[in-house]
Amino acid sequence: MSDINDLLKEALTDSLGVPSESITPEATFEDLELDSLALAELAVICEERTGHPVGDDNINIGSSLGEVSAFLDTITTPHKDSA
Amino acid sequence: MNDPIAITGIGLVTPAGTGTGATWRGLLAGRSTARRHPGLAGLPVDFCCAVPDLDANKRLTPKLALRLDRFTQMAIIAAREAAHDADLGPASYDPTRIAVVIGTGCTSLERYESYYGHLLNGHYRKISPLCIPRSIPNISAGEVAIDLHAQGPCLTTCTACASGATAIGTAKTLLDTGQCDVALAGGTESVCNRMSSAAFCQLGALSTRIQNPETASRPFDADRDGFVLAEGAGILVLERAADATARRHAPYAYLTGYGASCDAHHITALSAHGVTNAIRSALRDAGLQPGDVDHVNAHGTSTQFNDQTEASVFQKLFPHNPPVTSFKGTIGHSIGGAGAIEAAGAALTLKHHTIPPTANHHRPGPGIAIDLVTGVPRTADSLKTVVSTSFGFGGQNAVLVLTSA
Repeated sequence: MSDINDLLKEALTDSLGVPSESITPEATFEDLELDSLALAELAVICEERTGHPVGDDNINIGSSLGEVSAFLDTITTPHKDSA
Repeated sequence: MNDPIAITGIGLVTPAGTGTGATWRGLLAGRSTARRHPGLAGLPVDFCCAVPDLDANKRLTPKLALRLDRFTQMAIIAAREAAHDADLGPASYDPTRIAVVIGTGCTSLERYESYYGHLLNGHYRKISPLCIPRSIPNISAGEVAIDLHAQGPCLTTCTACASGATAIGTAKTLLDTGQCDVALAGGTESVCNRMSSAAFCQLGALSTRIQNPETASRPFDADRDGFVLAEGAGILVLERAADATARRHAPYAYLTGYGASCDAHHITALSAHGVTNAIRSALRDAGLQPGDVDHVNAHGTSTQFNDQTEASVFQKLFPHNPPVTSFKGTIGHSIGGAGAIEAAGAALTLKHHTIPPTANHHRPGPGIAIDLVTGVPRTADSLKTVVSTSFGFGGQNAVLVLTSA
């Protein structure tokens, strides 16, 4: 869990209703049963919160949460409490 | 005249509570559910009848609930209840023979304030990709079909405030013509949002009794001054009476008649001629005469004009003066949900031989001489035939006839 970007974690639980226990670095969006519309919604949320464009290259159905976290870490200010 | 259609399941989500039991108890109590709503703060009309215990995250799943606007959340919750009530298990019917027909009067404006805010600020990329799929009126029928794996005809009827009754009538037609074997039919709507309140208020349709919201909706009363916006969903399970008998499922009542008409007269003002035509058409479909009507579940919005016109038609068409009630005093006007909730309530009235009272009615308006049920429920043991009326902007009228099982 500690490897998941905070913004991603919050968007998945609070906006897309993904149970927090299923949020692991290895899980893909497909594993979480999120469809392309849900990913489009996630991209808009990430873009709005970071001010950085987020496209299909960054978030797609086969992406793992670890990969997306790494991408989001590069465009967000790291949080102090990240392990 | 066609074979009767049995009402074998009911699901309700209303300002009186989530579930058929909670709604029926609330209707019998006959106390207004109108309250100030935090989401409407600062608007000229800051109250409405909202569903107090929707709790969609829990009743659905967070993942499903967050994808949907309230009108679809309510439709799914009501449809699940209705399907369960009718014992409509996965094995009981061929899924391709199950229709879903749900009425909704408006596009869901619940989140449009923020969407338009982004648009006006040039932030197009901030508009949710779900803006369209979660707000289009037909999505509730689509989502219900997904949820219950119903693969027959699936559609939304839109006749404004008559949409829910039109949906039930349309489903009856699908059953009559053999297009399906079962129909989940009803209506759903939430207009408990800022844009709906502001816009209906500008139209002059709403009660502005902001000091005492709970006294605002007062159908047929002398001091009525408009309707109260609400939200809610009502879903019925309909099937041919012979099929219900074959699987030994006792119906609440039979849906025996549907009549529709258009005033072709004015976009918002009701015409006595159009109303009369719709009632006569529904009675003809049921093979009945006006004198057979034992009770009327009225549209009764609490606007000056609607109630006056509707009462004048009843007085002329039903000289035997059957008891009349309007649920809108208790649960307000949920637009596309209203006609379906009222049809469900009419079925419960027939089953329980009890007519819920019209809340907030103290003295009839001038020229209104109907036998309105007020104060407390009225027991009516010999109740056999109920007419439920619904009228929409655009002059679109839908009337249902229900007969005791």
